[in-house]
Amino acid sequence: MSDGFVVVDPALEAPPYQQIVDQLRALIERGQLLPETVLPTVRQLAGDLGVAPNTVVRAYAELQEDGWIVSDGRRGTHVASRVPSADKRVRGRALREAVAKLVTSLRHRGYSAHEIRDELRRTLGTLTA
Amino acid sequence: MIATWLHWYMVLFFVLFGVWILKSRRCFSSIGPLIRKPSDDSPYARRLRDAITKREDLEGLPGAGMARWIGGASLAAALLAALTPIPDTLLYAIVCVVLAGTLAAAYLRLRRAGGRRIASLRARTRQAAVPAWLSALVAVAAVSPLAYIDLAPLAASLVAAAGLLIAALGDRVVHLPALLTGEDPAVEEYVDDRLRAVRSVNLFATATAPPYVFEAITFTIAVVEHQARFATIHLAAMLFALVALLVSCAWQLVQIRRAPGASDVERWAHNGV
Repeated sequence: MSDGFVVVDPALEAPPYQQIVDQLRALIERGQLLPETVLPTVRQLAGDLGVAPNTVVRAYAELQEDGWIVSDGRRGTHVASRVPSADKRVRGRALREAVAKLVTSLRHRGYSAHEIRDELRRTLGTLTA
Repeated sequence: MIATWLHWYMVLFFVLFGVWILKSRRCFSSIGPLIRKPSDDSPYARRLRDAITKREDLEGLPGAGMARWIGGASLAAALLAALTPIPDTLLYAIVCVVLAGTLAAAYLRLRRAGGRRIASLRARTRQAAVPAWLSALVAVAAVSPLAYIDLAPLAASLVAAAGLLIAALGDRVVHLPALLTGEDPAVEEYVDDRLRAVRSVNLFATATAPPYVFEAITFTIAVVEHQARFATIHLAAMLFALVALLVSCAWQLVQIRRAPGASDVERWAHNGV
């Protein structure tokens, strides 16, 4: 069992809190963070990443809202015992958000909707071939 | 006669301490000696050595500068003790204050150290780095010079303040942000954890030494030089500081000698570069 690490890259378009959310969610989905695993305190994670505590507070709040983590005063913040990976609605929303983010980022870089659609089709074709 | 011997003993102490600090200036910035490494043929030894070297570069503690301040203060104290009537205990207290101030400056530098940061998702606990009972023992030992406030009020206050500051730094070191670059995160995290524990107890041992030395000097002067009757509280404070110093040093030795365990090596294997 390997430990999880997160990084905040200021060069990325996604805000720091979103980067933390995405990485934590991915680690939980991949099983690298097991249910009930105690997460670092807001202060520890913010200090280690060199970000403001509010950034981590916002990330934890979003993950808690989606059911990935649980905050319990005495036990601190930990990975939920039943992660919402099986929940179709949550998974669908996460997928929509990720695709929307990717498309927006590509549009900002000047790619047209046609170019993006063609490239996505080609990539999916390669993946499923 | 004995008073003169004691006085020149203190002058010699200041000289030897100053020279020793100036000669061992690398001890302030080098972290290699603080972490026990596996044998050189181990596949992980190179990764650990690399992580230690990188960490030293990242921290960039000015070992020579720190040594100059502390060693210089001790040599200046030797000069003042030899040439002026300033009490030896007061000069010793001033050296302790310089020591505490230099360590505080190094701590602030460590707080600001680092560039690109990654964070481990392992929750750190204070108890994992240093036990609460040791912190309490050291805190009491640090203020024990106040028992001597009737014999040397200013010096006792200064030594207690310096000891408390160093003990507080030992406590704060546990909460310093991790310094991981992400090149070899698992090994870097091991180095970070070990440094947290070893530095904390090093500072605890350093916090208990000045009170004990001060109390031993003051006690000896009071008993031998002035033929004064010492109070039980003086003796109790000195013995308590001695016990705290010995316990801190023993704990320090245990921490420094701790080698990477099987679980550490397993984690390194799962987080290879």
